[in-house]
Amino acid sequence: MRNEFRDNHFSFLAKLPKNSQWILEFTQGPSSAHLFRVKKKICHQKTPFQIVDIVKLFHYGKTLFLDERLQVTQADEFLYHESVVHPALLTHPQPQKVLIIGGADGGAAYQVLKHKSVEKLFLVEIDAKLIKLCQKFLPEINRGIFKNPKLKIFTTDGRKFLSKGKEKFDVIISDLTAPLINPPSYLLFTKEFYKIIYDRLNKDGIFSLQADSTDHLNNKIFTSVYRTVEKVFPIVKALQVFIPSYDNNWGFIIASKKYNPASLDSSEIKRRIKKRGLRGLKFYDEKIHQSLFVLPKDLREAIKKQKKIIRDNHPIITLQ
Amino acid sequence: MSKKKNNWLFESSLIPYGEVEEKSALKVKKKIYSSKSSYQKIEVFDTFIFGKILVLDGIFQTSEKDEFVYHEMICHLPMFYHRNPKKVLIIGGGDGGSLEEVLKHPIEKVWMVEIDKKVIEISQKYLPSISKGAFKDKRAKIVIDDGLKFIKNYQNFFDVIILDLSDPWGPAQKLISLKFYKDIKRALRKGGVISVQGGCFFYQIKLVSTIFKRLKKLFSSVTIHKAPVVLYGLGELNFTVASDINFKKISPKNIEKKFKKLNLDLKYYSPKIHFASAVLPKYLIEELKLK
Repeated sequence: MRNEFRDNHFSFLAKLPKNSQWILEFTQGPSSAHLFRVKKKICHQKTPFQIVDIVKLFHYGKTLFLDERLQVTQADEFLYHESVVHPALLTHPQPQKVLIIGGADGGAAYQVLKHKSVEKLFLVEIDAKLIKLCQKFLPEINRGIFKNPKLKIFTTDGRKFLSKGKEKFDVIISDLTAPLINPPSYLLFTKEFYKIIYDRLNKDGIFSLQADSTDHLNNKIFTSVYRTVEKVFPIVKALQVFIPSYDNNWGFIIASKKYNPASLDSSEIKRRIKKRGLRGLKFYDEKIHQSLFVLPKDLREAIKKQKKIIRDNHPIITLQ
Repeated sequence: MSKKKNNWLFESSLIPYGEVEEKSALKVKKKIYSSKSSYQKIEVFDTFIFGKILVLDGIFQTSEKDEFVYHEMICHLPMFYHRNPKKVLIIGGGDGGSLEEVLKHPIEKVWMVEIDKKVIEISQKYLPSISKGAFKDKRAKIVIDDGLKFIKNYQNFFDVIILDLSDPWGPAQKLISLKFYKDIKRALRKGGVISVQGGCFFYQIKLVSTIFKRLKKLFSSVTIHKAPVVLYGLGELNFTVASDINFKKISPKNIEKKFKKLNLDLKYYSPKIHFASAVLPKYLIEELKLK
């Protein structure tokens, strides 16, 4: 066992001895961390954009790290993917054309295509090799979705893709890493980009995005994104879901042109779930929908206090 | 247990009912206090992100920066479920955070029974912002005793009992036993409500389930609430509240009205959170077999 872990990338960030079987992942910024014990190394590869590690952890099963940062785990991916997809898709009465930006692991695509109403799903991901690796090593997360004929994959920069085309969508989902310099995902977290999204949505379109931590010690990205999205969309609601592998309450924002997700009542959601043929939900249902939008006072106040509007020339970049 | 390595403090892996493959680490500015009491190792560290934290036997207990989530939830949930609480008992809670929250209500008296005097002393000295002078309140009676013994002397007496205990291992295992819960119930007055810190959902699901099942044997209303206490590194924490009053008959309006009247200055708990925190996702309902 020990040899297997020597000279590898498991003791991320050099806080642990070189031959450590633990991975250290920052949680509320660079001064707090969670340690995961590694069961097995599955894949370590460089792509043109990032370093990809797929490992098996004891508690979480298969787990994807990009540039030594945890992205998704087999054990709790459903919390994240159900939250970024279903509240938004069910808020729309009849979503037919959907687009995902990012989402190389295929987990979000899998949830979207559970909705019978969806005829066409575009997935725009910058890193083609990452998709290949996820397809090969994380079938538990994408469950063969890459072979679904409704799914069309574009391996290009999300911003370029959306700036050029004209086709409109009912729902656009942003399933990106945190705003980084390299790869330059920070340009997908700006007011200018959100305007592009707005223009590529139909008149009653909905935008759903993962929006980083809502934890009271670490919610600068979330509150700034919220304020920025508010500048572009008339209806903006936030929900938060605890993601154990992130060790954080995680924020998701639904920005909408017409429909208000927070005023959708449970009997209507139940009806839509049935009509869409939505099955195998583990986290989301009509009972939990409303409660996800209840934010604690300290978070509501943090949003109010946040004055930053993210722009291309005043971007926000994640710590670490 | 907790070792200082390159100024990182690693939490002990020995988590009861949990997994040994996970732990938390915090970057520390300095160690402020360390000693052994008759019961446990007590340490206080100044950390970069959580402010000062209290560590017992290597396990992170509470911090200046995020104690409010835990203490507001463990106290205000039962205090607002109850119609008009006058006599309150806290078992454990040596840091004084629960005492402070309970005293925000117009009660007659609160007893706090803590087994380890040293935890109270150290908390008052190094973490005064958690209790905010609550120990000096005339309505507070501090008792240094074993909660197991103390509770046997009372019958039909308290309106609210808060079990603000560290994780149940070693001798503290008895504090989640059915026998102890029976004594707790006997000590409650009619309409009484109890709340229990009952582990984290994702890692300690067996503990959550054990506590729920035992309370269900004794009380007609048992509700699980969740709240994120990020210091614990184990995720969302379970607060189980139990009573013989019918929780289903308590409406949001009812609690809203009481909450407004008291005009509390809180950061996490609100009547909306009270109800939203009790909505559990499907997978937990199934795992806990609550159906």
